[in-house]
Formats: sequence, structure tokens, C-alpha cells
Amino acid sequence: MVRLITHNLLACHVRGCTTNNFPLAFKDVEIQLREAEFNQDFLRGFLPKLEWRALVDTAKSLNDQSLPDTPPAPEQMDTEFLKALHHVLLEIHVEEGAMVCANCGHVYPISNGIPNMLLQEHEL
Amino acid sequence: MRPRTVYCCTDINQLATSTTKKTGNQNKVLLDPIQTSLASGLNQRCYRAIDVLLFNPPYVPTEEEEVEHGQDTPNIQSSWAGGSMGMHITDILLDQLDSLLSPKGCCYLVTVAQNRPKEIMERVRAKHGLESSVILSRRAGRAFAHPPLQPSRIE
Repeated sequence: MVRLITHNLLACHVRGCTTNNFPLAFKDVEIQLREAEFNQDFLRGFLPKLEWRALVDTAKSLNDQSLPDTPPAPEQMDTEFLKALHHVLLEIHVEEGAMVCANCGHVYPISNGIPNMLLQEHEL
Repeated sequence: MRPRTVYCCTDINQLATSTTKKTGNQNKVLLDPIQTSLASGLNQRCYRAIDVLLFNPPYVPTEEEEVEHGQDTPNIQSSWAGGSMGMHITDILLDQLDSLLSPKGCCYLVTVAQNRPKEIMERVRAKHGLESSVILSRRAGRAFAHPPLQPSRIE
């Protein structure tokens, strides 16, 4: 499964494609929702590693509007916000489809929940 | 297991990534397999962000052509063919360690005696500024000793 937490860590790596190569846009996706155990400490700890804008836009592209445009300050993170973040990051699983680079158009397929980031030799 | 960690598991072989997924499910650990070479596709966003990096490389000394063949068309050979000294693929990752490991990050690397672990340790110190030690050494089968090295940042 490509969860949004993983998606937030993947960028296009075609040779020379170094700007506007993140986030990759989901295309023709098949989604499954799977409950995951809620862990506030994990979410708070992982938040600094996230590209927030990319996460919010990607969630919206999958019809989830639950995240605010800017993340709240750590002391203002209430349960409602953390539950929404938990759901978006960890419970939305993209099983089939593709991820497309906005810059170079490269298509990274997703099959059986596994993204294929391999490139052809001439793209390396 | 409580979700405290993101486990990005990479392999160039589709069979390996799908088996990783099944193994995780079987053991009730959510793994995130990615079909890619080493950390390709992750390097940019994981710049100095990986806390623990485990690498079981293709470490068996072989002809160089065997490495290229294995990497072009992923198969069982690509899981072991390491080229001259068995270090062809490992060296590529070692060159990336400094940009992958977080400030407190460490890497566990599986090697065999023919890789000359002591020389690897000297090299990662001189070239990459990383301290390492042999943390476990054992016989595996009749032929190989497996000393995992643990390179980490010099404080």
C-alpha cells in the first residue's frame, strides 16, 4: 500500500528533474481505507519531517479535505486535528494506479500497493 | 505493533517487495515496500532524516558483468552478485550515507570477509567521516562470516 506518509517521502528522481518534482500526483487510483492504531506521539514526532503543503494538496486530490492549510502549533494540536492527520497519513492506502511527476511527466506505477520507482538506464 | 516507526523497505526486485509486504502482514507489522534501487526516489525528501538504515547488500564477490546483468533485469542473482570484492553495490550506498542518515542515525551493514570489513571501516571514516564498528560476527554455512558493521556519525 502506498500510504500518504510514504507518498510524502517520494520525489521524482529522473536525471535532471530537480525542480517541481515533488509531490508526485496520484492518477487513476484505487483506494482502500484500513484502520490503524492511533498514536499521538508518533504523529507529533513525524510532523516536522512532513512537507505539509504537499500532504494537504495530495489529501484533497483524494477527496479528503480534513486537514488545515497550515499545521497548528504543537500546543494547539487537539485530538480532532491529530485524528484527521492520523487518518490521512496512515489509513488511506493507494492500492493501484500511478504517481506522475508534475515537472517531467514521468509515470511511476503502483501495483498491488507497491510503488515502482525504478527508472530506465537512460533516465538515470 | 504500535505504529511508532515508518519502515521503508526497498528492493529492485518485484518478488522481493511483494514478499516483504506479505512478511509484514504475517507478523502484524506494517511495512512500506518500495520497488527501487537503494534509496532512489527517497534521497531528496529523506535528506539526513533516516534514523536506522539496514542494508543486506549483494555482497558476494563475482565478475562485474554479473552485477550489471543482475541490476538490469532484477532476479535472484541481483540479490547476491556484488562484483569484484563484492562491494559494487555497497560502495554506492556508502557514498550516500552522509546525506541519508539523520544527525543521530546509524546504519547496519552486512558484509562477508571477502569484502574486507576492516578496509570498509577505514574507508567510511576517511571518505565519509563516519565511525564504525563490528557489532556481530558469526559463521554462516561453511563459507562465510557475517560481520555487520555499524557506521555512525563521528560525534
